[in-house]
Amino acid sequence: MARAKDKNNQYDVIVVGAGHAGCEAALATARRGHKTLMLTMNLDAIAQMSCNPAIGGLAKGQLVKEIDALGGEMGKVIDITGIQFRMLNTGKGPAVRALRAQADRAQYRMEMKRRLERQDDLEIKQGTVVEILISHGRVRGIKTQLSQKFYSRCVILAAGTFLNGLIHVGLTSFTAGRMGEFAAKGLSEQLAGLGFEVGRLKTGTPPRVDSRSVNLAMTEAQNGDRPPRPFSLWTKKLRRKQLPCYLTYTNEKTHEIITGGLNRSPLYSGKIVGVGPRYCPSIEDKVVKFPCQRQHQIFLEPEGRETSEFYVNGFATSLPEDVQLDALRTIPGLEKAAVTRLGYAIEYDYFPPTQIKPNLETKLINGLFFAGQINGTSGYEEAAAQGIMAGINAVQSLRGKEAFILDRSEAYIGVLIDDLVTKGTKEPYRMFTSQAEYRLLLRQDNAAARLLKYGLRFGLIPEELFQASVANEAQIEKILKALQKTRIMPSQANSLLERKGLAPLKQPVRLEQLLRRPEISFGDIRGMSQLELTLTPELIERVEVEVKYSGYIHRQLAQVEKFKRLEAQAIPEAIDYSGLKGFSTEAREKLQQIRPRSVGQAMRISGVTPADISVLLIHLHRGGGDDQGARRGREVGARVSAGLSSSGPAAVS
Amino acid sequence: MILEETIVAISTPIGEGAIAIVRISGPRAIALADKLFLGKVSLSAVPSHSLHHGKIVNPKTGALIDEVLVSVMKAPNTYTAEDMVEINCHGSILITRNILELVLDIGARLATPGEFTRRAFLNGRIDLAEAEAVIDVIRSKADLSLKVALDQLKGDLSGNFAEIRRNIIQALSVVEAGLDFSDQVSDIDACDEVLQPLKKAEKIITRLLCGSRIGQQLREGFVVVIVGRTNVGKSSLFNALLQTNRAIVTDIPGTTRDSISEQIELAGIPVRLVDTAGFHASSGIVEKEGIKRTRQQIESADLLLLMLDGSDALRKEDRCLLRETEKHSRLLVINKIDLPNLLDIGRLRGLPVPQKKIRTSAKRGDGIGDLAKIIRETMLNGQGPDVSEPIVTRVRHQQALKTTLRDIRRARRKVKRGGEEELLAVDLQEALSTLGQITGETCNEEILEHIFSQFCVGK
Ligand SMILES: Nc1nc2c(ncn2[C@@H]2O[C@H](COP(=O)(O)OP(=O)(O)OP(=O)(O)O)[C@@H](O)[C@H]2O)c(=O)[nH]1
Ligand SMILES: [Mg+2]
Repeated sequence: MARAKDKNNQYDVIVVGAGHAGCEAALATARRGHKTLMLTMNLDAIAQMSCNPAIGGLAKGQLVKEIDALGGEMGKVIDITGIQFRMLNTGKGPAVRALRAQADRAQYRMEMKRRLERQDDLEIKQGTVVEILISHGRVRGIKTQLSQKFYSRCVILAAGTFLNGLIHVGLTSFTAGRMGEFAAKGLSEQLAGLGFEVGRLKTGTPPRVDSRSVNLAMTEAQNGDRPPRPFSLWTKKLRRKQLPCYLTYTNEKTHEIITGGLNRSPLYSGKIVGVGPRYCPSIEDKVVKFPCQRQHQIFLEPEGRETSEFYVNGFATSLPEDVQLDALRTIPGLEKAAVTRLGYAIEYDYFPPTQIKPNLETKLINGLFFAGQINGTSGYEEAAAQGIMAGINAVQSLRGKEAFILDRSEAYIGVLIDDLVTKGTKEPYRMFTSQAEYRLLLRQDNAAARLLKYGLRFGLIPEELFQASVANEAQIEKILKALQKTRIMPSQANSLLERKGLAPLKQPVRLEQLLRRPEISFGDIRGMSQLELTLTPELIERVEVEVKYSGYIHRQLAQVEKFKRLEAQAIPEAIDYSGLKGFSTEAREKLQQIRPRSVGQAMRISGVTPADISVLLIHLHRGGGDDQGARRGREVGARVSAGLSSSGPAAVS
Repeated sequence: MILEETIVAISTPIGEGAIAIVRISGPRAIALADKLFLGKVSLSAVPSHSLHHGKIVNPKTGALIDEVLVSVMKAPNTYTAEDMVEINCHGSILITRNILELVLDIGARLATPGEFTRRAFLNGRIDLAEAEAVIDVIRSKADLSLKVALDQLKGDLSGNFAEIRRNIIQALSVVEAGLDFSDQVSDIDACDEVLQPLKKAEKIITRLLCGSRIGQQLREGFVVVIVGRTNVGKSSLFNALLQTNRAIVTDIPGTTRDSISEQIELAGIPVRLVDTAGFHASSGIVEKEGIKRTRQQIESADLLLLMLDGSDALRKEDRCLLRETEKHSRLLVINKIDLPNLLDIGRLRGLPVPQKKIRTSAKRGDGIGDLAKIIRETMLNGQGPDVSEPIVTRVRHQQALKTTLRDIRRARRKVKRGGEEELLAVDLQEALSTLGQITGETCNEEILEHIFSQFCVGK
């Protein structure tokens, strides 16, 4: 008999794992007022960055801003613990700019832990979950290695790379969740037994070196932005001194040593079966796949303010120790490098994400949510994004409220989750801006305008912050109106145009038209407007974006409208495709497996053709058909076909 | 769903009857038709279910396309329960296609297979119990349309589409790599790496749209070339099919020195008919030049009419020609059947002879009608009487090429100016999605694949 359920082991939500997904999930559920238990195998590794000590980057920076606007923690924590901030792609358009920060790994961990510990309704415990308690297709709680049982109506599984983790260094391998930590055993087996499909992925990490052994004179220092910009809406200003990173390169000698060690590489000897990410190749992969490239970039990144360890970015490897060391020491600056930790590859279990619904709840077990790397993603930001979404949705489900789903036109988070649940993934999934079809709309500069309203709705964002953003938008609107209205005489503009080497005006134009030209900035025309506002750089940037992109933004908005209509066409959850006629075999199988929730989502499934969509629409419109209706349908079918062919079988429609 | 869009289709078997119907449905149906219609009244002002006589005129050039009857039907009492217009025009394929293209140019979208029926159903015009039947209609039409599209995408055209696509993907992956991995792909000459493939793609498209055989097919229809030795009656047949005296006919061998061609319709199919200089063993320079051109014409033909003289014995040139054209799609025409037969069919044994044969007298007109029918069947290769589908497919191809070209040009201008890579990417993505509607391929994953295989990215 189960031990009597007392109040002490009863929760609304249990979050398994305290990585980037787990932290956001637990904070979201607790902040929404639901008693939450967070279980982690190691209380000292909360919000650990297992790989590179950095947050953000291209596409990922946008994710962090979105998480922040929803009321998440990642942006706030990195703003406090970052050691270098840079805006990437400043040479490109604003839609693809993104913020990246180097983190102080230890401080990041501590800061996140501090915040979790101060959160009401959130309990944190150390413990290893070995079983999910389930009855009648619904989750009931979890059981730990020590046979403790905790009960809850929702469980969010965010176990990262820990499920059956297997570390490789050269031909040596051992089970571990991360270097120096246990792997989690039993859970995958239990879930597989319940009918979940389990896959295997691989990722890797480079060695760390002691900065005191590095000759920095041989490298190129890379400094942060001045002034640095924060991720979070809550951060007024970044005050702490920034540290540089250092750039160096591999050379032919390095590549020779690596090639010589390939026979002892677990990757090339066939020991590793998991699929690794193409965008994050190991150094041995780079050398093998691009033999013509004479050098590869290596970034030396400080691991923190209080430590002398450097992270050797660009040198992920699972080669044996001697090869790692010999190869490293051919690199300028690293001739005498002392390695503090070796690089390694890790294989781990994941659950192909077509098994979850867009609210991140599993299709098989009610109340069980998956978030983070176990869904096949890679990256802290991708994990955190799923974490907060799973947290919000667990509460929605507890309250019997509608699921919270961001669509592809609203957020990178929407693109991320939709890709996962609609297409699945066979390699660790990383966010790229090219995956977003409405990239021009999903910018880091408008994340607040896009998403704060949801943060507010779910009580994760205070009213003031939201109102400030509304006021900001109103001001932008006002400036745009003014630019549209103000007419400029050729005499006013021609000296500017001449200076820029542009053809002079012959007729008056509106200020907006002038600003639309790629060569003209807001600063150039500001004097010509009657605007008497004090404008922040962010505001000016927004205005420029809105004006310069306006043609394309309108085009994308028109596409979004069409897209939204298709997303709004719901497909009932209970639909059974096997009993419906007219689909191609492939489409039927895919629809049955993925169970799209809208016509729009169905259209994105590969193998589902426009004709299948037409057929689907008819079925949706018809609703459930009884036998008699079907029979009558067939009779009439002959009639309709005949009727059509009377106007000729050539009739296209 | 997308019922806000206005759709158009040819709703009669083209070339079959004297009248063809171009059908428009959707909220802008009447407004669009009105833009093309020149009559006593404006279509926007007429009552529902009324018929109007007038002209269809190209609104840009003012060119007259056809004299037509237009019926205007307002929602909800129409087949689709939407506003509908039916343009009844002459059954000629060229005219029907022209009108279809005009309607598309001013903002309608080609209907997908079964879409009128589907709209009728979704708008409640067709009973719920009829759903099954609607599904059958959609399925079968989709399958037919797919088959035709695939048939037409075979061979050259498909190769060309693939080549265009490959080049755009190449350019786009360089642009995307620069956006998603800007910190790592700096050492490439991005400008040139983007421009080169775009130039290539543009070249192929312009060739397709203007010059090439496929381009001609897209614009004019099929190319049918008459070949044979001198004096067998090629020019006579040419005239007979054209029903004019366009080509000079004499009893002197070698009368036709250079190919001539004419645009005609054969049983409703647009055809470019070509008469060529006859094959013979003589050695005059002019004749040699003429024969060289004949060979070029043979190369560009969709169908050869290989002519033998039925009133004469089989000669060396005949055998030569039969062998030389073995690989081509062809039809054997035995002419001059009004004269006593001297052609010993038995002597054809052992030679590669076309499967289909027809006997004609170009002089008297025997067999000309049958020949036209056989040509038509051969060209539609077994697609029966339904020719609207291939025609529509061609219009679709042409439209796709035009749109793609526009986007490529936009993109190229940006590359030259420098900057705006993210907008440039939008242009190229749109080009790819247009092509994707023809080839059925999507490409997101392919772009990344391309980036990873070409650039060493990732830290
Ligand atoms: N009796 C008869 N005479 C024909 C027929 N077709 C063509 N002829 C005659 O044959 C002669 C040659 O006809 P063309 O049409 O000029 O022949 P061709 O093949 O174009 O000749 P070249 O241009 O010289 O190669 C002319 O005198 C025609 O009147 C036919 O079906 N019956
Ligand atoms: Mg002739």
